Amino acid sequence: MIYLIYVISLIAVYGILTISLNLTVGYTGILSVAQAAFMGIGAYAAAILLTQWGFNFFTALLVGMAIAGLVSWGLAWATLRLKGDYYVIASFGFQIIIYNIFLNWINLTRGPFGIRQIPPPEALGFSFQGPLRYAIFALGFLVICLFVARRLGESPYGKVLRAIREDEAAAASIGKNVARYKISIFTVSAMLASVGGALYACLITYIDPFTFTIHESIFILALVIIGGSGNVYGSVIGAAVLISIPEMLRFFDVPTTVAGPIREILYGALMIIFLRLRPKGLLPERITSGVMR
Amino acid sequence: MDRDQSFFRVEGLSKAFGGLHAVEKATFGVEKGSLTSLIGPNGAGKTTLFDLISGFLTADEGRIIFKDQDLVQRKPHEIVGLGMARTFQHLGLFNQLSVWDNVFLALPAKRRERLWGVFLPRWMLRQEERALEERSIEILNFLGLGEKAGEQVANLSWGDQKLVSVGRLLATDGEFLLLDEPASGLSDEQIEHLKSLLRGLVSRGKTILLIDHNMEAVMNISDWVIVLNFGKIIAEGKPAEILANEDVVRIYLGV
Repeated sequence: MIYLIYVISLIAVYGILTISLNLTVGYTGILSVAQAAFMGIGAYAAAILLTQWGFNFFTALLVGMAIAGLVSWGLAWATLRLKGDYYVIASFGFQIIIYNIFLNWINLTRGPFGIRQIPPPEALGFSFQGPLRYAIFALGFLVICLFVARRLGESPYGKVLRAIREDEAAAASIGKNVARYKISIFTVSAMLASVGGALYACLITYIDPFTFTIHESIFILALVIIGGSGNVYGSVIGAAVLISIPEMLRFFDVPTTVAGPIREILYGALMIIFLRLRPKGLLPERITSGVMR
Repeated sequence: MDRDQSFFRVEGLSKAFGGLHAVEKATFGVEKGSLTSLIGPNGAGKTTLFDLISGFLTADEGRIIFKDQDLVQRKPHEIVGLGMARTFQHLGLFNQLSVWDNVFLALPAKRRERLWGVFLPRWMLRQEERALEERSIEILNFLGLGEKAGEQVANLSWGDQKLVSVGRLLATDGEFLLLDEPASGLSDEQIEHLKSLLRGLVSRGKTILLIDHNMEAVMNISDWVIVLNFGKIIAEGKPAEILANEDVVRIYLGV
């Protein structure tokens, strides 16, 4: 039972991460493989501020969001004028840079030794320690993120993002400042990813740079595609399916050295199957049409 | 003949792609409230000229003056903000969105489209929304698309998609409209409708610059015609003058 509750927390965390990437990939059509970098920024900000500086979780969370927001704004400003494949390569480069910072800035991150004993969040003297409390806490954040992402998607701002996704030049031709929209949604996406990262750090209680690699970014991208690009509820479903199915391997007599590769193969196979047979994912995007009143 | 070109003019505009001179020292003007057509064989540089004027390409040299401002180095959305908008040969519609959304999105930038606007309470934006909705309805009814407002653009016929692209153009509230091959792919009946539509816009005070291959339509509705060949302007004048120009007839009309 405790394990099941732990999996629910993990689904909530990955649901947030998937929603965050869906804002850029699904809504705006910006394919990025750097989400684990922003997740890592949030996770490290929380871990460092909670373990070394004695910060409260919510303050640490805000600091992580601010750092992720600033870094992503800078990255977006420098690279989002690149198109398609070139931007994917740029985001890949950024992912490698951030990973190496986590790995080599030992004074701050403890490098490959990682940061241990990350405490659970506390608010008003109440600790979210224990699987059930933490699951409720993480699910609360998931609901907030869902609300924010849905509101963004259904707003006129979200409609402009979709217009940009369909035809950037056409969006510019009707007076939309495409660069500004892309930079703003990319920043929001990174800030949400940092929330997922902070929650991840407190859930696992230990982080090291090897969690925030390109593999993790691609895994989050797989969740977006399988769940349904452009549908935030699909992101949660995608996270639930892809987190829980491999976790079931634990109940079979599969050695851990085999379970890891099986998991990777499963993710890869599912991604290929979905792209081939159901490219719109488990929950396809639904765009509400404007109405005349 | 003297024409007032203070509204819009292009001076010595050039653009080369490697060794290919797509546009070479083009100089011409457009009179406010007129319908001017830009004609020429395929590859003459017409769309490149449109891309330069609307900011999608940057000129190697020359100036583009619109309302006393040089547009070279300006970004497309800034140019739209100055009152100039364009359509594309490929239409570039937002196919997954509805007819309504395509037109509504093109209405001039507003608070509700900003990131912070997402979290404003609805009542704060209601007045702005009402005005925008009324304008959308007006445009859709003017184009005869009112009944199809809720339809996804991808499901419309080519003719209706063309109308949506015109609707989107009108929604920008631009006073200078650039249309890239609006008549291509349309039936005779639709072309007649388009012709009266464009003349109607001019009579409402819009200025139009258009590219098209349909000579009958161009000569019928234009006040002024500019002929481009291999990136150079080889003639300009009233339709009757262009039809009587031997060079034009030989190079472009092939007779």
